[in-house]
Amino acid sequence: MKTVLITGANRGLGLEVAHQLGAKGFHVLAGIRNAEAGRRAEALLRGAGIRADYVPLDMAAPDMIAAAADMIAGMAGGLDVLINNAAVHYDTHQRVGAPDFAIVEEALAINTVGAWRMTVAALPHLLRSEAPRIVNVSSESGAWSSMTGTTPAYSLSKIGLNALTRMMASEFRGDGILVNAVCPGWTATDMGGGGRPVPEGARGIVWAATLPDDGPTGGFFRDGKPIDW
Amino acid sequence: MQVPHSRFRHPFDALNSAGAEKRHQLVICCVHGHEVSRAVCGFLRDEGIDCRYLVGGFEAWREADLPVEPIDGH
Repeated sequence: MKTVLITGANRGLGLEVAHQLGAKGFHVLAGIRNAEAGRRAEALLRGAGIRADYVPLDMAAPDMIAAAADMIAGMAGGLDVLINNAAVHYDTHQRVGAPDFAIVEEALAINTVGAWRMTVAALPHLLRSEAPRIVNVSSESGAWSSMTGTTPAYSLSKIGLNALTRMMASEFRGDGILVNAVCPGWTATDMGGGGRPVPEGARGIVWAATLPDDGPTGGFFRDGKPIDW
Repeated sequence: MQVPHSRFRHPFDALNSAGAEKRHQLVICCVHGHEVSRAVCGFLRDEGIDCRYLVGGFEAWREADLPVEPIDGH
């Protein structure tokens, strides 16, 4: 049975990706900060017949990220797929000329450095997998080619995550780890506030998590199709 | 079978269509009235929806000899 760790699996895309991968037979490890939300997600996933465990995980707490990786090893005996999904501060209310730097720093700490730390913590387990995959849930708002200042903290954090995707893909290529960034599109989550149904946005993430061994690495995709960085 | 005039939703569909329900007060009913309805209710409350769950679920409803109907008219 393959295992997947999804950060930010308490709601929205993370929870739906857990649902879809669980339905494909994955053992789902749901990284969630709030204990009550974690137990809820676990109950819902198990109620749908999915093997799921809640892993306490606060992406702003480096010690917790390291502990989560060890917990995974104990719970599942390994890890095949890491989905760096947790993100905060889709800051449409901010302007580049007058930002709240506390928001900027928190967005970078969680969306970018948090994903980096999580990957480093998970790496020893991924290296033992036969088909390791890393999916960085990114956004077109982090694309250099269409960059505007409409969500400054979020965009900076996501272009950083896109850069990390390239670095990770390059460094881990020899180890057979496929690393890709996925834009789910504008999706009707609490964060997105509108857009297409959550299951549609989740499908592109599931696609990147289940790529065949000869699949792409170091790419930026939406719905399984390359998009501009 | 279901509680009359209720709408059948897969738990994940209920979460994913939460945005459309914000104007309504909801009662969530699952089979046993344990984890699933409580979990869905907790998620929907987080989304700002006025929501509660049926204690004992559909089993308790039926044991109380309350009326039932086929699921969504099927």
